[in-house]
Amino acid sequence: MTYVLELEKLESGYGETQVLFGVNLKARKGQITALLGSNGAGKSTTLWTIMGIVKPWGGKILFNGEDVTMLPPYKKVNIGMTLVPEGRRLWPQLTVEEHLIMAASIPRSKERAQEILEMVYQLFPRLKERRNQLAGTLSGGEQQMLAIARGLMLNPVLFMLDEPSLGLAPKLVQEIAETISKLRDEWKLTVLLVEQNIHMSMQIADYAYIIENGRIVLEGTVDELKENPMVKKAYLGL
Amino acid sequence: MEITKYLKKPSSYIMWLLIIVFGIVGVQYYAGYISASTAAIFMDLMKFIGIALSLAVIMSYTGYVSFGHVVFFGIGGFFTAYELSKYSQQILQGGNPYTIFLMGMLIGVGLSVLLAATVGAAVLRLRGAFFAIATIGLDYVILYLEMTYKGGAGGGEIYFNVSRPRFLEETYFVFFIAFVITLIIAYIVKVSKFGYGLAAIREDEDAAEVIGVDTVRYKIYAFMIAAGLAAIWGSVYSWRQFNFTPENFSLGISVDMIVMNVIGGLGTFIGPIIGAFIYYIIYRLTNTYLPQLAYIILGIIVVAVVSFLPEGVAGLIRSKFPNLRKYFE
Repeated sequence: MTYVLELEKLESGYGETQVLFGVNLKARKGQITALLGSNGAGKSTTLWTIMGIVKPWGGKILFNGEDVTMLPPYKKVNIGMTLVPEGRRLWPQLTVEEHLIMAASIPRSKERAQEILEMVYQLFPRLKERRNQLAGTLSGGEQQMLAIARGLMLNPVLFMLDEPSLGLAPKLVQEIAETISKLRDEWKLTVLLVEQNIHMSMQIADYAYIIENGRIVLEGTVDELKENPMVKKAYLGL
Repeated sequence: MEITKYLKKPSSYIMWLLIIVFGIVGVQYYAGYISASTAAIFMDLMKFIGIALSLAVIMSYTGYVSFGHVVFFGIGGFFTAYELSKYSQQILQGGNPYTIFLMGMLIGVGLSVLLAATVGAAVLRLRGAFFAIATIGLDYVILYLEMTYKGGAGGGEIYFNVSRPRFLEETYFVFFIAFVITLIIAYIVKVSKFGYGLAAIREDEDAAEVIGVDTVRYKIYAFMIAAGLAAIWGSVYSWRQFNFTPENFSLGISVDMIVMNVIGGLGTFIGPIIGAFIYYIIYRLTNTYLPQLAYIILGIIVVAVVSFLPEGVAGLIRSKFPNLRKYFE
């Protein structure tokens, strides 16, 4: 098994408050790895720390076996680490296509920009129809598509999604879930999915970690976790 | 192939129109068809637009308010005045004042850019109000340093004389060159990939980072450009005034720059230009007819704009006339 991302005893926090207390996590190549947990468990902080936007306090981040712990965010993006942040974080005053082109202007995707743009439009035909519309005027589901599409324009190897289902209707959650599966199966990406929506994640993920209070408390393949009495009780409501 | 060339660029028509109009005015003035007082209005306008655009690069494009931006205006002016007074003998004996002026300007601009890089590297890593406060502090530090300078006049004041036949007409073209340089640099920054990165920072800095914008470096570069442009205007202003006084470091000038940007509309290239026009007209009218109330009226207008037109005049035009949008970016 090769790992695209490995976290070793990762610690971080904000100001004086420590949030992560030695997180160990591995994202398997070509698979969807889910990081699950409730509000305030440290899921988003883990992603922001991986990207370097929140600085790690301790521990190691390995990307394809290389130590990238202290690399600044823009360099991480340029070696293929991509984060689709929670809440979409789009630029309301820019059009759909401007979002995509801006992302594709990094050195990493420049050469293939045109090609990736077409692939992205194939994945999200709706975005192609609305290419000249301002992002602020899109519906919630379309905004999430655009956030994902913008991430794809960065030509990622490791694709990290922070709560892509947040605030979407069940039908749209299903669509997003299918899209994420496609990214694994057709785009051959390694996905790290952070979610509160355990049902949706269990449906598409291959391997999952459960985080509580900044520590990984449980890990295993999805099938194992589904049978785990603690998971059943606390998360699946069975 | 650069994919960014597909981005729709704001139109440059208005910029060229301004350059042509102000250029024609200059030629007419030189030929004697326009009075010195009318030309002075155009020179003031160029200066207002110039300083507004200099601040726009960091405040309006990038979203970081350089509250003490006047410090660079002051530094540019100081070194210009310093060089011109130091070599006053040569100038009196028929030396070319323009080479000395240019030297002073280059020193002022160079030091401003250097200072912006140093201060920026230290402070632009922080977000929010820290940067604004740090630039105010910087302005005071440099102001008090400058006031210890005992030139001929003492108290930080420098006087010099470069009067020559047709000084005013020539000075119009000095302003005009600075004007063209400022417009073109501000426009290029706005439409370049760099400018889109700055816009991304302004709208959402974390989102800019996750799409690979080197935010710290971009912010520092923007600050350096803004500082250099402000220094150019401080320099040509001193040249025209024949002096430099600590007044050139007054935060009032900073407030002028900020107000012009706010009135015109943040985030746009055209905003500071419109803002400068409006601000200048109000400023002239109130100072002529109601001088005691001038700043009160300006204050009320600013409050009204911020409350009712948060996107400024350019924003208003863009939302009312979508067809004109590309001219008002």
